Formats: sequence, structure tokens, C-alpha cells
Amino acid sequence: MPTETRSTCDGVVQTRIDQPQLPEDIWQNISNYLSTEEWAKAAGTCKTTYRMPLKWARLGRHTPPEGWEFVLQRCARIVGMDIDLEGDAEDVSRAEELMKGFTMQATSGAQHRSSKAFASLKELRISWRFLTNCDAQHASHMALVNMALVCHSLEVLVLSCDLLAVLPAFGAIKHLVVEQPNMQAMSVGLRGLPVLQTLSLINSDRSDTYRCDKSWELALDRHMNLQHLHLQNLVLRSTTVGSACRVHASYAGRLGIQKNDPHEDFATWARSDLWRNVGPQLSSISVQDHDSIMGPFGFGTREAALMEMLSVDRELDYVSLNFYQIGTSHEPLVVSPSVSMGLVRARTLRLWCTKRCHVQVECGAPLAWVNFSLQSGGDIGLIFNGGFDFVRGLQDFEIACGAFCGPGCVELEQALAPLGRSIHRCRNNLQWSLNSFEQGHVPKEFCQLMLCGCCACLSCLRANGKLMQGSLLSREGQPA
Amino acid sequence: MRNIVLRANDGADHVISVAAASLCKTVASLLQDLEASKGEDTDPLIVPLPNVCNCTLQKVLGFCEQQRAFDELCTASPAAQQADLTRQIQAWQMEYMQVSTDELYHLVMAAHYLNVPRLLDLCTDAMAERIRGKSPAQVRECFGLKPSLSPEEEEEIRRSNLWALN
Repeated sequence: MPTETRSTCDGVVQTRIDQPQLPEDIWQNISNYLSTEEWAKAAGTCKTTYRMPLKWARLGRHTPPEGWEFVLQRCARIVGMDIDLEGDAEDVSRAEELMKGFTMQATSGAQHRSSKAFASLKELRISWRFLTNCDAQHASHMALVNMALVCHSLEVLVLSCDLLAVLPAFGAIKHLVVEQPNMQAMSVGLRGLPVLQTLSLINSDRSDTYRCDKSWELALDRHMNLQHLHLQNLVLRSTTVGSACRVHASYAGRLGIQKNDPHEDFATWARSDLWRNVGPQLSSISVQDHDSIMGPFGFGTREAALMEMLSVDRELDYVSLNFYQIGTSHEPLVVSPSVSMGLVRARTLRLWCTKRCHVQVECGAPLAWVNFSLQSGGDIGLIFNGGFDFVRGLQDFEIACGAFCGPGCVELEQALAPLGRSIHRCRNNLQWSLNSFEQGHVPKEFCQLMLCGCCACLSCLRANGKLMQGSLLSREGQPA
Repeated sequence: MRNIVLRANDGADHVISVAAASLCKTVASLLQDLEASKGEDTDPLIVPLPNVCNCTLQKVLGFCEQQRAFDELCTASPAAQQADLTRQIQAWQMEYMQVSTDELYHLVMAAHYLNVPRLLDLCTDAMAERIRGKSPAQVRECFGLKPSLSPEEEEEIRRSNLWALN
């Protein structure tokens, strides 16, 4: 190894000497960030790197047989494995066979007590697309069953494929994420997972979306430990959970409906009906949709179902409504004990919308709000008809406005002033847009629109009137 | 409250707050042991670090102090501002990791020795970036590592890992 010079932070030039080897746990941390191929390429650096057991392995459809073998020889202490088999049918089919062989070797080693392969595996992620006809003889099916035999410590299973028939083999898992679930298989598969704590189902299998005659039900009555339930873009009629459960529930996205497509006409479906049977078990509700939510009267079935759910008198830890638009000046979203007790008794209320937000609060004292966040890309019309008694309990509050903040915001600010607090009212549009875009709450076009202006709420406009140009306010031609 | 003094291998002393020191698990456990044996005391705790040079120690302490400040901000900020903060932290970390390979080597060794998990993760991520795509010889050259394998062993490993080298 040739010696060379280096400059230190002090600016002193020193002769470089060969460094001692890095300890094994540092190498192990480094290997966690690399794919199996990348790590295998560098593994000949020293004895430690070559012999070191892996903690994380990342295998893909292009990984050759030697790569699977490389992992198998180093999997005694492995805690996580990520298998990405996205790609064309030929590659995937070859990779499935490799995976089957890989798991068979692991199983055989475990049976003969000669190996502890995957004994410490806690997290398994398998990404698969276009997988059909996955019967019990299918290579991938057999591979997963083999994995279930040796992965006694597995807690987290993430599947983006239709391999739900193998779920009962993983009876001890606590956290399950399934992308593109086939709801029929899902309902059966879940029965074998009694200790489940987190269930996340994302994007119905496409074949489900065309079965208009079917209405799947998600029955989780036997899952007494269930705490978090996240549903996103599902074709699902209803959900039930055990009566003893308290569940943090969230629904994101719409039903994936193209209303002009006769095959996907779910217009009569009430999405929020999903939660109707869950009722008192809900401790939080989070709904995200690119549609609008209006006041208590005169809007679609889906919003009616949501408002019906929010009208139930129960304590909620967290309510988050993220819509394209919340209410209109004629038909605001009403917060009152008679219409929306769920909103009144929510400890954290988060209302986010892309366009404009009109909220009418009809009560003062019963409001249980501790955290209140209202963010709107357009105007905010906030009306408090019930007084401001609730502000004493308010700890975190934030109003971010993309355009015009109505007088309600000023009144709230005045109510907070005697308590020595001020509202976070005027945030920079640029930051708000970036946040919203990154979190997928608003379309890209909207963010571009926002990025061309700066905050245009009244106080900013007073401070620097020229910022109005290019903002939503001037675009829509409304007076400041 | 007890002062904590970290002494670099060239004798330079650095006083750090208890909160920042708690990010260094090695120092935190020393402090805990000392308090368990001697009870509450106000004498400064001097921790000699024979393996850490002054400039690396300064860099590590800069990380600890900044992370402590970020932690306080995260606790005090409402949930809606957490995304902004995360972005700020990431930007700061990216700036912090603009170091030479030699400095990175010393930093990762110090983070390991002092047991600062967050700094260790940051450094190993940066090292993985620099290792990606390199052959064993290039990795050794990059970090100035002493070769520990005989030419025969190297050849044997090269042959068994040929699939990854091509």
C-alpha cells in the first residue's frame, strides 16, 4: 500500500499511514446499506468482511444463483430480508425457482440442526408483481411455506403479491402489510394470524375491482391485539373488529373509480361505510381523498357516511381529514354537538385541503381540541359562533393559508392574545407546498402553482404587497 | 450538576453538557457507573480518549450538540412542523458529512468507540456510498486499510465472488 499525504481538519499535512481494519459491527452496518451484489463485490476487502454474517440481505430477480448461495452461507444472524422480484415473467420465474431452492436448503439445514438459517429473521419484504395462478405447487408458494418453517422470530411481513394462501403459515407475525391484496383470499388468510397488531392493506388487486357483483367484508373479530388498521384504495364494503379492540384507523385515497368506466361504477358505494361496524372501537380516524367534503347536507353518499361516523358521541384521539376542498362559503363543514360530535370531542383535529376550507364552529366550551391544525392551499373561512372558551385547553395550533385568511382567524388570534400565545398563522407557501407535495397530499400541478407565489395572507400582503403577484389570490382575481 | 470533560489523545480537553454526553453511550454508562458507586457528585468527570484525536473529537461533539438541539426542537414543535424539521436535520447532516475519506474513517472509529449510534449510522451510510461499485483492492486503497489477506486467500475469494465482480 503506497503512502501518501493528507490534510487534516486543522490544515496540517500529514503522511498517511495504513489504517487498521474496521471492527466487524461497523462493516455490518455498512453492508446494511448495500445490495447483496454490491456487498459481495467488496466482501474480499479483508477476512472480516468475507466471513461476516449478514444482518440485512437484498436479493432481486437479477441476483444469480451464487448470490442466493452467498446469502445462505451468511444468514445465521440475519434480521431482515428484502426480495424484489419485479420484472418480466421469464426473469421472475427463474428467480422464483432460485428462491425455492434457497429456502429448501435453509429448511433442510434447520431440520438437521446443522444450521440456524433465518432463526433470527424478524422482517421479510417480498415485492412481486404480475403473479397469477399461485397454487400450492407454485415455486414462490413453496418458497414462502419453506420460509415460514424456519422463520420462527418473524414479526413483520410485507407482501406486494398475491400469496395470501400462505399467510396461516406465518401465524406469529404481528405486523402485516399487503399491497394489491385479493380480498377474498385476504379474508381467509387473516383468520390464521391471531396476534396481529398492525394491518395495512393497500390497493385492491385489479381483478377485485372488476368484480362489481362482489362486496368483500374484512372481518377482524378474532384479532384481539389489533391496534392499527390502515386501508388504502380498497374495494371493500365493510370492516368489523373485535369488541375489545381500540383501533387507530386510517383510510387513504379514493376507490380508484373512473366514473365513466362502466366496469368500475362504484358510485353508490359509501366508502366510509367501511368503518360503520367498527364504531366505538375507533380511537382515531384519518381520511385522505382528492374529492371534496361539504357540510352536513346536500353532498354525496360517501361524505354522508363519513359525517355519520363523525356524528357519533365518542372520544377520539386523532381526526385527520385531508380533502381537495373542505366546505364552501354556502355549505361549510359544521362542527357542533348535534351534527359532528366526533369533531367536537377530537383531541387532535387536523383539517388539510388543497383548495379552500370553510369551517363553522357552533360551540365553544365542549370542544376538546388540544391540537388543532388547519392548512389550506386557498382561502380559509373560519367562523366561531360558540365563543372561544376552548382556547384554554389548546396547546398546539396552526393555521397555514395559501390565500386569504378570513376574520375567524383574526378573532382566534385575539382570543389567544390574553393567554400570551399567538397562532402560527402565516406560513410560507413554498414550504407548505413542498411539505404537501412530498407527503402526496396535493397534485404536482397545484404545487407548481403555489411555488410561483409567496404567502398571500393578509398580514404578509400588508408587509409586502408585491408578493401578491403570482399567488392564488391574484390568480383567482379576488380582492385582498 | 457534574461537568463532563472529554480528553483527546493530544491532551486537549472539551467540556460537554450532560444532555449531549448522553448521546455517547460509552460516556453515559461511565457516568451512570460513577453515580452508582459514589452517588451524586459535582466533581468533573474526565474521560480520557486515547483513540480519538482532537479534531475528530471536535467533530463528534459538534454532532452531539447539534443533535441535542434538534431533539429539543422536535419535542417542542407541533406535529405539523415535524416534516420541516426533518428536512432541516437532513440538510445539516448532508453538510456535516462533507469530509474527506480519511476524516470519515476516523469519525466512524470515534463514533464506534464512543458508541454514538446516530453518528455511526450516518458514517456507515456515507462509507457504503463510497464503497458502492468498488473492488476489494479499491476499497482498501480508498480507506487506506492494511491488507489482511495473503495473495492466495485473495485469489480464492476473488474466484468464489467472481459472479459479483463481473
